[in-house]
Parts: sequence; C-alpha cells; structure tokens
Amino acid sequence: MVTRSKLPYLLLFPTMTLYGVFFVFPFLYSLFISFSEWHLLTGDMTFVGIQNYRQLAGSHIFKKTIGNTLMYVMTTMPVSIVLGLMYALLIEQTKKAKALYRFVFFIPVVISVAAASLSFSLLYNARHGLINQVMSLVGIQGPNWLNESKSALLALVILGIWQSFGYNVILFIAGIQQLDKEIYEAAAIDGLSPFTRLTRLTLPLLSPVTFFVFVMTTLSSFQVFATVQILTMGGPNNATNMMVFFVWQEAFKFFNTGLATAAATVLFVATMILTLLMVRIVQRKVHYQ
Amino acid sequence: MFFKDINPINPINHVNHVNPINPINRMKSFRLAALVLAVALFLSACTSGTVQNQASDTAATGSDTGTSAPAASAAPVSTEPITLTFLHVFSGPREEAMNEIVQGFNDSQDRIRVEHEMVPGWYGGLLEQLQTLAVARQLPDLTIMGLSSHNFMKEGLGAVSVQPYIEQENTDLSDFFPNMLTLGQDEQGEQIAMPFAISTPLIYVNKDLLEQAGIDYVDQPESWEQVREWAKKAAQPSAGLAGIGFQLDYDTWQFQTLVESFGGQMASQETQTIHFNDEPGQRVMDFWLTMMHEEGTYPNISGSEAAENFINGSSVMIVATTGNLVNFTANADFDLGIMLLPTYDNMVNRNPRRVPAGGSNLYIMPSDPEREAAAWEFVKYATSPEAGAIIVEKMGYMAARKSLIEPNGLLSAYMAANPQATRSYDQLEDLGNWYNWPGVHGARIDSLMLDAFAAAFLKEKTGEEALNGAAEEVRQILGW
Repeated sequence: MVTRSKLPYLLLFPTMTLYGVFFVFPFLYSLFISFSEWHLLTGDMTFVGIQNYRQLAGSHIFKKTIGNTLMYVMTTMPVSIVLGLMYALLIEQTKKAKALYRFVFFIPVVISVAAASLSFSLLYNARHGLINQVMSLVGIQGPNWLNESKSALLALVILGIWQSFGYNVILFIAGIQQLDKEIYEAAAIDGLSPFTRLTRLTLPLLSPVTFFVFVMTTLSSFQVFATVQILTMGGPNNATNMMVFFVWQEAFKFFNTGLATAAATVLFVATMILTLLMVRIVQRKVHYQ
Repeated sequence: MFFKDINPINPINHVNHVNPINPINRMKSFRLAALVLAVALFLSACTSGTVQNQASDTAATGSDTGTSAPAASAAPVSTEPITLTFLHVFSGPREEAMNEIVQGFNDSQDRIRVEHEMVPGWYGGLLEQLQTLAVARQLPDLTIMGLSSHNFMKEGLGAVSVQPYIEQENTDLSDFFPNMLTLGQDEQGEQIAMPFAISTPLIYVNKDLLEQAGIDYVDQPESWEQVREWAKKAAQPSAGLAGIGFQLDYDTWQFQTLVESFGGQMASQETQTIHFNDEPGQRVMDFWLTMMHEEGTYPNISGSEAAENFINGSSVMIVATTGNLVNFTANADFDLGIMLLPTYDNMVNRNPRRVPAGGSNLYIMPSDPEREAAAWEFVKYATSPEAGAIIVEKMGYMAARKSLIEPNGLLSAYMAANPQATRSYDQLEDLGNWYNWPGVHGARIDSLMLDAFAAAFLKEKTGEEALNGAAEEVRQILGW
C-alpha cells in the first residue's frame, strides 16, 4: 500500500529516472570528460586536469566564436522580438484574414532548417542570387554574402530572424488576445490616444509574454548550429563560427572530445548565468496583472 | 547536441524538485531513487566502456586480419544470406550509378546482398560518420573514402587489407593502371584498398567566352602563367564575368596540385618538416591573390558557387575534378572545353606538372571473416570492367582499368562519342598521391589551412603571413 506521502515520489520516479539518465548523467559525464583526454577510437582516457580549459582559454578560434555568438544573439534576439510584436499588433488590428496572416508568418517555424538553409544559400549567391539581383535593380551592388566576414554573419542573422520571429508573432498574439478589454474601454473613455494606449497599456500588460519571448529567443539564439553548418561551415576564416558549432566541430570533426566538452561546459555555465541574470534583473520589470 | 544534453534551465529545476524535505520516510525514498539511478548510471558506464573496448578490439583485429592472416581462408561458408552495408558520398545521378552497381552485384548472385547509403558532407562528412560508427561499434562492411584519408583508414579505423584475398585467389591486377593501384597501397606496397572512383584536376573552359576574348583554345596550356593571362584577358569583373575559379571548399587538393606543380611539396615525414609555406607555396598564394585582388579575375566565392557560375556562363574557366565532367556536360549551354593542367608553372622556372590523384578507394571494414570475405566479393564486382564502365559513363570519374579505354574496350563507343572524357588519361603519367597527413589530425590541418587561405583572400593577412601561420600551427599539432 502506497502511503499518501510517498505517492508524489512514486509518480515522479519514471520522469526523474529518464531525466537523470538522459540529462543529468550526460551532463556530469560531459563534465568528467572535459578534464580528460579521451581517444575515442582506442578508448584510452587520461585525466589531464584543467588542460582542456587552458587550451580553450588560449584558443583564438574559441574567443572568436564567443564574440560571434554574442553578436548573433544581440542582433537576432531584439529584431526578432520587435518584429514579432509589431506583426502581432498589426494582425490583431486587421479585420480580415487574421488566420491567413498567422499561417503565413508561422511557415518559417515549421519549415525544416536544412531546406530553409539551402534555399537561402541560393538567395545569397553573390552573382545569381535573388537578393543581389533585386538590389542591383535599385542600383545597389549586393555584398558577397557568404564569403565575406561581416556579410556572412549578417546572412546568418537574417536567416535566424526569419526563422524565429513567426513563433514570436504567435506568442504575442496569444498574449494580446488575453488582455482585458475593459481596460481598453476605460482608456478610450478617458481619451487616450492609440500611441499612449500602446505604450502605457499594451506593452506593460504584455510584459510577461515579452519576458518569456525574450528568454526563449535569447537561449535559442545561443544554440544556433544547423544554419551555420549548412550555409558557412563557420567560415570564412571562422567569421561565423559559433559556440555550439565549435563544440560540434571539435567533437565530431576533429574528435577532440576533451576540448569539445570543456567548451560545452563553458557554454552551459555562461547560459546558466545569463538565464539567472535575466530572471533576477529583467523579471523585476515584468508587470503581472 | 551537446547543448541539448546540458540544457541550462532544467537541471536547476530538477534539483529543486527532488530536494528532499525532512521526514525520514521521504529520505528513504530518496535514497532508493538515488540507488536505482546510480545503478543505471553504472550500467550505462559499463556498457559504454565495453562498447569502446570492443570497438578498439575490432579495429585492431581488423588491422591484424588485413596485414597477416588471409581472412578469406578462415571464412566459414554459411548458407545464410549475408547483408552488407556500404557507405558512399554520391548523391543525385551519381547515386543512381551507385545503385546500378549495387543492384548489378545483388542480381549476379543470391548469397550476398549489399545495401548502400549516401552520407552527406562529402569525404569529410563520411570520415566523421565512420569515426562515430567506429566508436559505437557499428562500422559498415564497405565504404569508399577520399585518397587523402588512406593512411587513417588503415591505421585509425582498421580497414581490412585486400592483399590476402588477392594472393589467395591469385587475382589478376594487370589490367589496372599501376599508378592507380598505388593509390590503394601502403608504404610497403601492400594493397589495402582498391581504386574505385579516381579523378584528376582539369581546367574546364567556356570555349565561347574564350573565343569572344580572341583566345585560341588549346587542349594543353603551356603554363599556369598563360592560364592567368587568359583569365585576365577574358574576364570582365565589372560585368560579373569571372576569369577562373578554384574549388577550396572541403580540402587542400587544388593547393597541393599547384604547390607541387610550382616545384614544392606539402611536407616531409622523413625529416618531419613542413614545406607548403616554402617559396613554391608562397608563389601559389601570390598567383591566387594577384588574380583575386589586383586583376579581379578570380572572385572570392565558394567552389560550389564557382561551379554554379561556370554552368551559368559567368566564369570563363574553372579548375575542378574529373568528377564534374558529367554534370558540366549535361548542364552547360555553351561549347565546353577541357584543358589538361599546364605543362609548367611558368616558362622561366619550368617546373613540370604534378597531378595529385583525387577521388576514392573502396575499403573493406573490420567485422568477421565471413562478412569480410563477402565484402571482397563485392569489391571485385565494383572494380570489374562492367562496374568501371558505369563509374566512367554515369559518374564522370576515371577508369581504373586500362582495357576500358582501349579501342575495343567496353567504353569504346562512349569514348568515341565523348572524346573529352579521355582528357584525364593524357596526364596519367604525372599522377601522384594526395598528401596524407600523419596521425589523426588530417581534418584539423585541412581546416586550418583553408582558414589561412580565407584570411589571405579577405586581406586579413598577407599570403606569406597566412601560410607561415598555418605552417606553425601544423608543426605544433604534429609535434614536429
């Protein structure tokens, strides 16, 4: 007979076991490997202390990947949030075809990353790509998108925004639909202009959704990988090498698992600190109704 | 992948949720849960360790099998059908050609069935996949691999030598081009693998654009300097017409081609010295950078973009593998010309042409004697004249067998109808090996060298700084 006090643990047991095996154990094992030199093919594993972390600290490529990742996050995240909010407000104000707009903006979210990346690689072709062809119509010579340092990172940012903002649109629409209509009726009676209503009512009331979108978009931007692998392979000259791509490259291309797991640990610690900071600092400004 | 494993949010929540509160009965429950988890982790670790040891054992056994005992003689004959897995990198029409070869083998007998699978990412992607599979003890029975990883296939992954089978069956190899057989041998001359889809670099030319520039097409350019002059004369950078393109996306094959043709070498394993940054290598960088930055005839684009531009008529020439022949012939709307690599670097130095072979060998991977013997049966079929004809006609690679291109050979009609397909054979006598870096660092060295080229192309470094920096990094990696 299961007592009432044991029941919650019993119910949690399957989930916690799976969680332990598939999340906690791999993390701890990864942490352990980061202090070792592990030859995968021979199975030899030697404890090397903090050597991998030292090597990481001295790696100019790793430093470059941190800069690239921060640049990617700091551009993709705000633009994606602003565009998501803007389109959500516009869609909610339209009288017709709301469902169609939602559908159209959500398409990038459900398209496979591989298909999207390959399509964008054609669009980014410096000579025959649609983007440069359109730019040339208005007399602008488009960049050599994927082969120059700055434009290659910009190309990934554009693709990242295109992929993520549709999801944000849906989240913001859901938030807008839950706002109390009576507050808006009162504001209309008080004679508040549409702009004041937006800045004084809608944005503060939407702050819980905005905070959620902010955290999720930031974390997913830190995880950028597939588009890098398909479009640029981290090039040219590591100009688009991001942290997760660096981890993958070290682990599965160069088979330097010690360095890869050390980089993964650094990434984990960095994102954990960032998440805690976001929760502690930004959440204070969130207005819960 | 790794990031998913260490999801930054959930572990925190997880710890909070399982944190036991005071009561003793809850403590017991927690201990029980912890014990179960610990056992699960222990079992996982044991399984993992066993798998690794078995993988390394298999690799070692395979290597031993290949070098000493004739595996074929030990192979028990089973009446059960054997299904073999075969990995390659070919997609699209080339994959259809692979399907035709595999299907032909499967239809030729009913004891062995081969299933083939394409691995994306070209040879680099395949090598990554093989290493991952080796760790998981799931190596395929057969695989192709780029020639630059030949040593690693034997020493790192334990590819099974075909020499014992050749000796046991007294297999007649006289029909193979001797220098193509060499591509599958080790330093002692033991035949580890068989040449499968071999290629050389060629210069593909848009003859219409060349003619418009007033340049007479020739099959055999005199020097690379002459090619540079043609590119300069025919290109119109302001109109988006490039003079020439090189393919440097995945490897340093074309760099090696130029370095050796300019009188240099990549490195010397005997003296443990790096040489790609010596004077010939620096001249190669000057050659590229002059065309890119001063003359504007060689745009800084990827090899795949260069091929796309060539097919679309936006590039006069492209240096590319023989393997592009079928693609270019099928898709080019212009008069396609194929030039051999130039005879000399320039008419002052007169360093002769060197042609590092590209393409792939076919390897048997370690499993058990019966499967390895079955894999050898497939290797024989896949390197037969019939399969060779498919490789040439439908994939665009070179025939490894002399008889195929002889006047009465299987490909005589094809060669007569496509005389350009014979071009590669005209530079066969200058064929050499694709450089194999020692140890397991080939992928990292290729990667850092490509980064160095990109840095010079982007003007972040001079050609000399880029090559010297790369050489220093390679020296540190190899411990030379």
